[in-house]
Amino acid sequence: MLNNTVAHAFLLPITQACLNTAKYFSQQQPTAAKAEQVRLNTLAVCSVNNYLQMLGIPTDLKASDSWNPVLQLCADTADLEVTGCGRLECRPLKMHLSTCYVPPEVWEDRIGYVVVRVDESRREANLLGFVTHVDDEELAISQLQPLENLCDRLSNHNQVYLSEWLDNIFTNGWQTVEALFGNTQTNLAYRFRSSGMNRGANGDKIKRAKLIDLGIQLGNYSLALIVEIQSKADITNIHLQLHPASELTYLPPDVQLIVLDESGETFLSATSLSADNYIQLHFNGEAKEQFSVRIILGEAIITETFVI
Amino acid sequence: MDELEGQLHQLIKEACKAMPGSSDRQKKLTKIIRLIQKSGKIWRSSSPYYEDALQQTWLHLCRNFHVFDPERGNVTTWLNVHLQWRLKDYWSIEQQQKAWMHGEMIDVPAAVEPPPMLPTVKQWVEANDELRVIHIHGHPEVNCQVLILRRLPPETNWKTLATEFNISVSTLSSFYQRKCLPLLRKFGESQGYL
Repeated sequence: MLNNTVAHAFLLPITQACLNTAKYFSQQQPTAAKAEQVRLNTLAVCSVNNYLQMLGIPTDLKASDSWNPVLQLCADTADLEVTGCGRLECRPLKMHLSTCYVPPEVWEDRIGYVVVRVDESRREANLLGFVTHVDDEELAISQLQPLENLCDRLSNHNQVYLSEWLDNIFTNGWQTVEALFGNTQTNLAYRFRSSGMNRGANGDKIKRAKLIDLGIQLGNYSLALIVEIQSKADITNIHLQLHPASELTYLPPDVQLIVLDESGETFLSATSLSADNYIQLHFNGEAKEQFSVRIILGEAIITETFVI
Repeated sequence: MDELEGQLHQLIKEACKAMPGSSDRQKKLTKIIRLIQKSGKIWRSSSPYYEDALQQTWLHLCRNFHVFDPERGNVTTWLNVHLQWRLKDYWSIEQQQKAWMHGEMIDVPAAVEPPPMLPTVKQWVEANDELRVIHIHGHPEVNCQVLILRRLPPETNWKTLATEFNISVSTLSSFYQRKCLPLLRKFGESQGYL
């Protein structure tokens, strides 16, 4: 068991920034025991946050209970909000213990649990592994899966199930076009006026938009991907449009919008010219079929995976 | 080229082939870093900024592995050079701050103490009768007000509460998580703590 644990180990330095935050949060607590708990929780959350940052997985510390002074006081929580996925619990484990305490108040509403061995004398956090579910206060280290399974868990979480849209369930940052653009882009609303309301009954069109961030290479240039679906019996019509999300009227030239089939082969593609307001693709699919939409601009590539 | 470098070059090649943002690429990066850590070839120092500089170095690797040129040297050497540059950065920032403090002798204001949270939360919970209305089905005595007060530090542990109310730990904690915590989040927001 020990060898297994060592093989999975992933060491991260505990930075000065983490120590300062942990100290600040713990100083606000009324008892020594609570202060110690908050300090260790903060170090565990910071370490997992640093790991996800290295992998390019976006997180939101400020939306996490572990960053909220009232929740720190009222619960033993070490959650980290992973943008578009949910709360990942980062449980600290003191040196020499072989089971990790998981308080009952964090048994629900979690996408998983990472156990972090905190070695303060060496200023090292050891990410020991991951499990998806917990329903006991004691979690044995031998039950942990390698961190690689966490990568899979977070990436599968990003798959969008279009069938859920029919039940009015929208995850991973998909929102109404109006919510995404506000009232600033009236021309955009005009273009989609024929699509009707966003209702999920059979045959109705459902339309959602998502911000696509192409990263710092392009000066944080953002695009909006709009997906409109219409189910008729076994066939679903899918209509994709790519718009500029900033104030700009035109897409940059040479943006590619590509649809890949289940095997990753290009099925359809469109490329923007010098003065395109948007580019679009239409196709049909059957229930449970999977496809990916890839957007390429220069060196930036973003892929979104869908299941019909 | 030694065995470690051979393995690292191969893994970097594979990571470059994996799609950016894909779990394949993330898993390869995890393997690369784990392998480097095990080798013990990363430079160590007792500088107070060592950990911050090392974290910057891992980030540098994750963001720039695709431009690493194996013709120009070892992965570990590349990282060690970066690590030493980051340490120098931290050191020179510290020297500048010292010089500035010394020259000016400015009174650095103490950080503002935040208001004590416990009495504020306790007062709100005690004064808020609505919290008494939300209770576990069939147990009006086990309501949000009672549970929050019992879980404020020094908190009563869940097993003791379960025995006392004759309700399982999971039912109690689930109720606490689903009903009480959202109210506390809202209270935190209204108080401007977030």
